[in-house]
Amino acid sequence: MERLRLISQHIFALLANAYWNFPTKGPIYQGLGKYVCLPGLNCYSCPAAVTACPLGALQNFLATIRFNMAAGSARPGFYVIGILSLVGSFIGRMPCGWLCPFGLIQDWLFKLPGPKFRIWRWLRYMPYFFLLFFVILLPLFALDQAGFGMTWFCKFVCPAGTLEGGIPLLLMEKGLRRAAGWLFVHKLVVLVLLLIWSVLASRPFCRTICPLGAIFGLFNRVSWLQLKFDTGRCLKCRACNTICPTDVSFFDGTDDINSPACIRCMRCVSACPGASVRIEFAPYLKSSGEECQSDGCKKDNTCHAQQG
Amino acid sequence: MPENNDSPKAKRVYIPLFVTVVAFAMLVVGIWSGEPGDVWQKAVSICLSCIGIG
Repeated sequence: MERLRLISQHIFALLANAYWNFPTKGPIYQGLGKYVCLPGLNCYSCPAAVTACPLGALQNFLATIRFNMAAGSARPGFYVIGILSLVGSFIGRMPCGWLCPFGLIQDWLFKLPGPKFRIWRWLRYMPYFFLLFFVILLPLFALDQAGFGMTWFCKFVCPAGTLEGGIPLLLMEKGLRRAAGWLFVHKLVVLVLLLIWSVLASRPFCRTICPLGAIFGLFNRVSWLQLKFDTGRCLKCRACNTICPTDVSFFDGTDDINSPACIRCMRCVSACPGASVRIEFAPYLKSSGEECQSDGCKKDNTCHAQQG
Repeated sequence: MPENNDSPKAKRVYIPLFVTVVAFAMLVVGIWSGEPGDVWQKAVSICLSCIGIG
């Protein structure tokens, strides 16, 4: 399963960045792929990117939504929200674990040798702060003199934009190098700190900042794809918690197995020696004989049924 | 015996179904109102704020 996930991560990272003609044909891809939002964090200003970034696109919609200006638009970004919600409704936060190019970069860095630290649990609520303020409220309500908002998350936070777009473009374009100032230095510092943190802790950006992960996480408990935990089979060995990249702890009841923090990498499914964790697609549609109906199942998704 | 639609199981089916239908509806409304063109327009030019310049 883990090998399959690694292959998937690399294939999607390559597919999302498949425009390798940029040194000769221009610094940025302008084809049909840019109509589509990738359900992962991949800056559309990356010279190789062939898809659009959903966070950048959503902020642009919110920053320009004005009903009383000729230059404004009345489009709130239903297209972007629809893509993210549709993906989320089927597989929840699985794109974070299996598809996101920036998640892959963090996974690479965490494999480097060095001391490893845990991340404070309360920081897992920070992505909602970034989603609410930097992606929604500030682009909507913090307006410039012309009456437009700006893409606050892209401008002040997003390290993917600096790594995948900023650095390569500044290396390629002399004019852009001259224009780079304190804002670029700020973004470079954010990026470097985050890359160092990614060596020391697992997936720090996904767990403490990423608004896209926050959006997908909201769907984990209502998606068609569900994880099920059979407490009767659990050996309390902590293998699931030890291997979990986002420190979800469901074996002791601290977290729900379909917690919004879970990126659905499925490593716990493979790691469990008692086979107490399993993946189910549309468990809601199973007949009553096939599905656990215990109270535990209904309240915290733990399952007491004796199932294979 | 046919299942009663008010059973907890039926309600649990409705939630993901509702989410999927609403998501699909938003996608269709977005496409119908021309939003993919706006996405493309922004994505084919260098986003200066994304890269830390503008």
